[in-house]
Amino acid sequence: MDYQPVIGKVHPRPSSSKSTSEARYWRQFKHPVFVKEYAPVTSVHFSPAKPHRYAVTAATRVQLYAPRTQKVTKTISRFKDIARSGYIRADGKLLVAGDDTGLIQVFDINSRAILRTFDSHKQPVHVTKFSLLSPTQVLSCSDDTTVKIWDVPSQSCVTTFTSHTDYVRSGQSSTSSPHLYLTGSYDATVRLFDSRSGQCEMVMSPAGDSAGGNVPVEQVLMFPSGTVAVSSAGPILRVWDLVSGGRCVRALSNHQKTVTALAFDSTASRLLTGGLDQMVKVYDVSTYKVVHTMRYPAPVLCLAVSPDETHIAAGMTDGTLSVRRRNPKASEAQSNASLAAAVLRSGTFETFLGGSLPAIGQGTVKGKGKAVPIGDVNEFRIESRRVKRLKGYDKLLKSFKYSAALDSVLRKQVPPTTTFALIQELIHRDGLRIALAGRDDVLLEPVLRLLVKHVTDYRFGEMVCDVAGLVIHMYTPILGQSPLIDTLFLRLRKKVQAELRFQKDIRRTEGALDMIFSVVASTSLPLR
Amino acid sequence: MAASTSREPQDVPLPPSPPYAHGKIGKFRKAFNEKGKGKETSGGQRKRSAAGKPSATSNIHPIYEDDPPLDWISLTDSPPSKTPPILTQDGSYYFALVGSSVQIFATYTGQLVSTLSAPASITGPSDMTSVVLNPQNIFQIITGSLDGIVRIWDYLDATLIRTLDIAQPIHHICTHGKHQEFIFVTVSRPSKPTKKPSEDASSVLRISLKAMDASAPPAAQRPLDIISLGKIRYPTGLAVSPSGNWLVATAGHKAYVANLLNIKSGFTKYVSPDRISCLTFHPVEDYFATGDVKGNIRLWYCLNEPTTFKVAGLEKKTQTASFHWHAHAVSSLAFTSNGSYLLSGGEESVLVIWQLHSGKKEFIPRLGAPIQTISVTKTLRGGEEYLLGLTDATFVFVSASALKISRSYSRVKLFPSDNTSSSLKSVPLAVHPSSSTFILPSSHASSIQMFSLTSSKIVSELEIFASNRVSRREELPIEPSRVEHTVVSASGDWMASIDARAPNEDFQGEVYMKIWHWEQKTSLWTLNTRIDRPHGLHKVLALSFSPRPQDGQESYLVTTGGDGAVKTWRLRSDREKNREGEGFWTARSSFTFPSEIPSHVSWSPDGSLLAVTSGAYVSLYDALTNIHRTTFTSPECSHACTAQFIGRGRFLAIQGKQELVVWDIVSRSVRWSYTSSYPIYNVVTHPENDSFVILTSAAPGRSRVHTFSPSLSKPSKTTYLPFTLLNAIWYSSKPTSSLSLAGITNDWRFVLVGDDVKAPEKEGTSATGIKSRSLPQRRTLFQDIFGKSIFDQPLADDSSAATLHRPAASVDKTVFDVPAHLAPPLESLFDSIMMGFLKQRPIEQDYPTEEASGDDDVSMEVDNPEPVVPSRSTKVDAKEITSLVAVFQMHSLQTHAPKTPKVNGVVKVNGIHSKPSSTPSRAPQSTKSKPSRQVDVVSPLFTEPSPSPTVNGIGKKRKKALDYF
Repeated sequence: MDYQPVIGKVHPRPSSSKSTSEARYWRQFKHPVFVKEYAPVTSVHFSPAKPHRYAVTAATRVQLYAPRTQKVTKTISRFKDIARSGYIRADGKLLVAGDDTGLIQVFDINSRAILRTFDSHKQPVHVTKFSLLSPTQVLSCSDDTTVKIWDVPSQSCVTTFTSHTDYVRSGQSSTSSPHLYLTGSYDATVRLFDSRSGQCEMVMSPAGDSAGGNVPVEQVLMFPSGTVAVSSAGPILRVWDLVSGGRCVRALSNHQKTVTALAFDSTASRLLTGGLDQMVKVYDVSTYKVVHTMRYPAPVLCLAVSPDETHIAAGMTDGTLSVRRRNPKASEAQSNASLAAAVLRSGTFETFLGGSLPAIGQGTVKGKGKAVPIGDVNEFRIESRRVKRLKGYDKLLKSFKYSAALDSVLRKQVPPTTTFALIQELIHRDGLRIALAGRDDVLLEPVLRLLVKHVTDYRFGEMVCDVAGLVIHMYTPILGQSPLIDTLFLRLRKKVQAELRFQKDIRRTEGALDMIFSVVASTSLPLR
Repeated sequence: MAASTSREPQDVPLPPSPPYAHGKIGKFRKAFNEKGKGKETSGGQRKRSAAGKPSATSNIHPIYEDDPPLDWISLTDSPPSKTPPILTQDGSYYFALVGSSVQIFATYTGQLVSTLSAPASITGPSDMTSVVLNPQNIFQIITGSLDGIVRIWDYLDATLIRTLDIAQPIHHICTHGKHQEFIFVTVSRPSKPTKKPSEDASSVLRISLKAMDASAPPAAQRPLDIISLGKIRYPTGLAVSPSGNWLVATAGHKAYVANLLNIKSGFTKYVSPDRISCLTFHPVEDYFATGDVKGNIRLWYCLNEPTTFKVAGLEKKTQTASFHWHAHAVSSLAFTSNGSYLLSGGEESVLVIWQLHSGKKEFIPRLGAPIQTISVTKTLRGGEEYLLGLTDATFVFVSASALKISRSYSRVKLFPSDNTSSSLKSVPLAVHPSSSTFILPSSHASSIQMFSLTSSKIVSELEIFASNRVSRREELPIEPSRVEHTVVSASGDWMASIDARAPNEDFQGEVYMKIWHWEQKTSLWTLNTRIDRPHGLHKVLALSFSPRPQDGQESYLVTTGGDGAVKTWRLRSDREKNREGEGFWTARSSFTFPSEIPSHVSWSPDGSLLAVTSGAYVSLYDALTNIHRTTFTSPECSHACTAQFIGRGRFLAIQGKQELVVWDIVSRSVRWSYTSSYPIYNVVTHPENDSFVILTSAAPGRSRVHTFSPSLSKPSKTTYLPFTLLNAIWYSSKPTSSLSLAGITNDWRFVLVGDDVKAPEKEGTSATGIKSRSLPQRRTLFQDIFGKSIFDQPLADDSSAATLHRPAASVDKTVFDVPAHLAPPLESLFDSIMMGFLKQRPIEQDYPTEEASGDDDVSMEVDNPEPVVPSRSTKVDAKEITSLVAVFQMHSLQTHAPKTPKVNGVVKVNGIHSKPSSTPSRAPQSTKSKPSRQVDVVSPLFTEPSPSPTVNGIGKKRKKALDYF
C-alpha cells in the first residue's frame, strides 16, 4: 500500500467558444491599436502587394498606413467633400477613391499625384474599385443609381448600368470573369451585370418575402471562385448561388443590427461580418456557423483582413480605426516559403518527376537526435524506469506537515485545482483545522485571497464556502487587529453578497422563462 | 518463554469510573460470545444445521417451534484473537487463535494446514484466549479458554492429549523452561454469585500440569495443585523473565512483579502513569517493556533492584526508560531475538522498530489495517521475519533485513464491525457471474473484495476510493468514504459503485458514482467512468442495471437519488476509436418527482419497464421514453419500500412496512396481499422462476424467511434464521427452485443461506496431522539459477481451480419464447442450441499449477512426453479421434514431427500455452485505472515467494524458449 498522491480534480469545461481551436486562432489577433480619425471611417482596404499597406478613408482624405508601425505613411487629401472607398490596385501602385460630389480620382501612391479624374456621376460615389482581372478598369457605384465602368488609360466611361432604382452602395468586379460585376443597391436587389451586353443579367432579391423585400442591400461580396456571392441586407446575410441562376442558398441572421461590412480571410475559408451592433462575427463558410465573435467599442462600418492574415482592420462610426495584429508563427512563415518554392517550381521539369525528387537542389538537414544503437536481437535491455517523484506538497503531506503543505499550494503559480484538491485531502484527513490554525496576518492573507478569488467559481465555490466558514469561525476573535485581514474579510463579504444578488436575478429570469415556456407549451398543444 | 497478550485495550475502562464501565462492556462481550457460541463455526467453514441448536433460543421465542430452521453457513472467520500467534521451534508453522479453535498455518505459504477445535461441551465451545508451546515438549501446545479449561495438544498428530479444568475463565498463560511442570495463568475470580465473572477481579495462579488423578476420564481432570500468587485487577499481560526468576503481570496502571524463587513473598507493585496495554520481556536480560494506552513504551529495570524494604502490597515507583511515538494505544510489543530492537504497533497501522541503545526508530507504514499482534519468526535461511496480525484477520510478514512487507495472507477480510451504526443502511453485495465471485465489503469502508466461492479465496481487493489511511487525530474516527452500493450488469462487463462520504458540521459530503469495466484478460476491474455527485449532494438511494439487453438494445443504468430524480445513464462509445469496450457512461435522461422521493427502482425482466417506488405509489415507466404508464396504489400498503418484478415480469411485488402486495400488471389489479406480523425488511426474487422470498425481522437478531409464489397468498414455506440480513441477493449456483441466498448479517458476517448450502471444501479446516506433510523444500542456489527441477514437482492436485473464471455457457432461450409457428425449423436450431448446452472443451487451457508458480517455466518448456498429471480414464470419441488424426497427419508431413503431449485426454498442440495474462491472480497492476488500486492478494498457490519475476518477464522467457524448439 503506497502513499496516494494528491490528484487535482479535472472539471468538465463548458464547450464554449473559448476552447475551440478556431477561437484560439482568432484570439491571437491581439493588441488592438486604436487610431482616432475626425469622422467615421468609411473604408479600409489592404494593398494586395507586399508590404500590405492599407488605405483608410475618413472625412475628406485617404491615408495610407504601414502595417508594422500602424503609422500613417501617406496622406491624400485632394477631395473637396467626404471621400469614399479608397482602393489600392493589385500591384500596389495606384489608388482610386471617390467622393460625395461624384468625383473619382486615381492617384499614384508614391507621388500622391492625381493621374486620372472621372467626373460624370451626379451623386456621391460610394464604391470605386479596380477591376480584379482587368487592372486598367475601374468600377464605380453611385447614389444616382448608376454603375459605371471606366477605362483608366483613356479616362473614359466604358459602360453604364442603369438597372438599379435606388442608391447603389456596394459593388465588386467578378473574380472569375473580367466582364461581370456584382452590385447591391438600396432597392433591395443584388444585380449581376455583364459589360459585354451592358445589361443586368441576374437579379437577386428576397423574392416573395414581404418582410425582407424592402431592406436595402448594404454589402455584397463574391467568393474567389466567382460562383457564390454573399450579400447583407439589414441584419440578414444571404448566400447566393450564381451558377444556378441566383438562388438564395442560405439566409443567416446572427447580428442584432445591420451588417455593414463583409470580408474574407486570405483563403476565403472564413467569412467575417461586421455590424452596427459593434460585433464582428466569424463564420465557417462550409457550415455557415459562427465560430468566433469579436466585440468592438463602436458600430463597425468597414472591415478588412490583410492578405497574409496578420491584421484585421475595422473602421467605426466614431472615427476610430481598430487594428488587431497577430504574430505569425515561424512554421507558418516557413510553410509559406515552401509553398512559394512549390509555386516557383510548378511547370518546371522537376514537377513532372513527381515526388521522387522532392528536394532536389535544396540540401538536406540531418536530424539532431542521437542515433539509436542497434544491438543484438537477444540482448536483454534493461529499461530505465523513471521513479515518479512526489510533489513538494505531497512530501509535506506524507510527513503530516499540514500547515506547510497548505502554504506550499497557496503560492501564485499553483493551479487552483491542485490547491483545492489538497484542501479536500486535508478535509479527508481531518487536518484542515490544524493546517489553518495559528496563522498571523501575513500567513492568513494568502488563504483569504484564495477564498476571495474563488468564492464565485462554480468549481470550487462550495468548498470555499466550507473553508470560509471554518476560517471565520477560527479567526473571529482577531478581527479588528489587522487592517489587511479586515479588508479581505470585507471583500469576501462583498463578493458573496454580489454573487447572491446575481443568483437571485438568475432565478428570477429562470422563473419568468419557465412561465413563458409553460404558456407556450400549453397553448401549442392540441386540445383533446 | 514469556507469553504476553494484550487483552482488548478498549475493554479496559477509563480511569475515572472503572467498575461501572467495565462491567457494562464485559457484559456486552459476554452476551456476544454467548450468541456466537450457538452458531459461530470455529473454522467458519463447516456446515451447521440449526437442528442441534441449544434450546435456549427457542425458549425465548416460542414461535420458532413451528418453523423449521434454515441451513446456513458463515464464510467469514470469527474475529482474530488478540493473542500473538506463536511459532514452532523451527518456525515453519504458526498457531493463531480463532474463536474456539487453534488454526495452524504454514509460515512459508500462509496456507491453513490444520485446525484444532475444542470439543463441544455442554455450554458450547468458548473462546480460546491463550496458546503457548509446552516447555516439556516442543511438539505440544497448551491452550487456555474462557470456560476455564487448559488443553494440551500434540499438533503433529492433531490430538488432544490432556484436559485440565480450572473452572475459572483463563485469560493468559505463560510458561518457562525452568518451571516445566507448571504454567502460570491469570484467571477471573468468581466474585459475587449474582455477577458474572469478569476480568476486573482476577488472580494469578501457578498450576501444575500433572493431573490430580491420572486414571480419571480425560474430559475433566483436575490439576494436581493450584497455588495463587496474588490478586490483580484488569490483567493485560503475563510474562516470565528469561532467567525464570521473575513473573510479571500487568494490570490496570500497575505492573506486578513476583519472585518465582520465593513464591510466598507475593507481588511488588510498580505504578505506571497510564494504563498498561501490553507487556513483553527482553529475551536475554532481566527487564521488560510495557506499552500503555497513551502510546508510551516503557522499559522497566526494576527487577534486580535491591529489595531493601519489600513490603507486599506496597506500590512503588521506579526508574523507567520511555519511548514515545505512538499517538494511540500500543497494542503489541515484541523484542527481536537478539534483544537489540523493540517492535511496537498499534492503531496507526505503522510498525515501529526501535533501536534500543540509540533510541532511533524506523517505520514500516501503511500496512493496511491496525496492528493487533506482533511476533518474531525465524526463516528457514536463518534470517528473521516479523509476523504481524492485523485486525482484519490478515497476517503480514515483514522481512527484517529489507524492512519491507514480504508477503501477506488473508482470507475473507473482516468487515468493519466496529462502526456499523452509521452504515447500517446500505452494504455493497453483488455477484459477478462470469468470474463466479462475490463482491463484498472489505475491512476498510472504501474498498471491496472479490470472494471466489469455488476456490473459497479472496481473488482481489479493489479500492473504490483511493485514500491514505491516516489514523484518527481526535477521539472520533475519521469518516472514510464508504462504498454504499455495488451492482453488476447482467453481461458481467460492468460494475457500478456508489461511494459517499457523509457530511459533517463543517464540510459537505462527497458522492461519486464509479463504473468499472471487467477486463477479461487481466481478470480485474478497471475504472471506466467517474461521475461526481450523480444526484447532487443527496444520497443515491438505488441503482440498477438494465437486464441482459436484447439484440440492438442498449444497456442502461438507472439511479434514484434523494433529490427526487430518476436518472438513466447509457454507455457512449467513442466512434473515432471504434474499439471493443471503449466507451464511457453518460447521462441519458432524468425525470423528477415534484414531491416524492423515489426510494427504489427496478427493471422488468425484459428491460422495457421501470418500477419506481416513491412514497405510497409505485409507478411504471417506459424505460426507453420515460413515459409514465401506470401507477399502483393500494390501501393495504400505505408506504411502499420496494417494488420488484417476479419471474417473467407479469407480477409486481410491492413491499410495505409489514405488508406485501402482489399486483398483476396485465390486469392492473391486486392479485393478493399478505400482512406479516413483523416488519418486512427485504424481498428477494428468484432470477429465473417466479418464486420469491421475504425476510421479516421477528425479533432483534432473528428473522423469518417466507417463500412465496404469485399464485398463492400464503407462504409455501416458512423458516427462520438466527440473524437478520443487511443485504441479501439470490445466489443461484444452479437454476433450481431451491432457495439459495447470499447475505451479510447484522453482525457483519458473510453467510450463504439456502436449502442445501454446501461449504466449499477447504483444506485444513479439520484437525489433520502435519507430520505426514512434507515440509516445503528449501530453495537451493541451483534452483535460484535454473528454476525448480521437474522431478520433485508436486502433482497437480488443484483441478477444481480449472473451472475458475470460466464464463458460463449461455443458452439463448429467447428463441423459445415466441409462438411455435414463428419459431425457426428445428433442424436449424439444433446445432446452435446444443452447442450452447455443451461446454466447449478448453483446448488451450493449462493447468493452474503450471501457470501460477512462476518458477515452473522451465519444466513447461521441456517437451515432456510423460503426462505430468495422472491420467484419468477418459473416453475418446470419434470427433476427437479425427482431430487427432488430423494433427498427426499434419505433423507427419513435416520433417520433424514433435510428439504431441497428451495431457488428460486433451490434445495440446505443441508449444501453445495459454497466454500468461490469463492467470487469474498474477495480473499486473492495471495501467488504465489511475485512481484505483487493485490489491493483489497473494494466492497460496505460490509455493515459494520467487524473488521478483514479473509477468512480463515470464512472457519474455517463454517466448524465447519457444524459439529453441
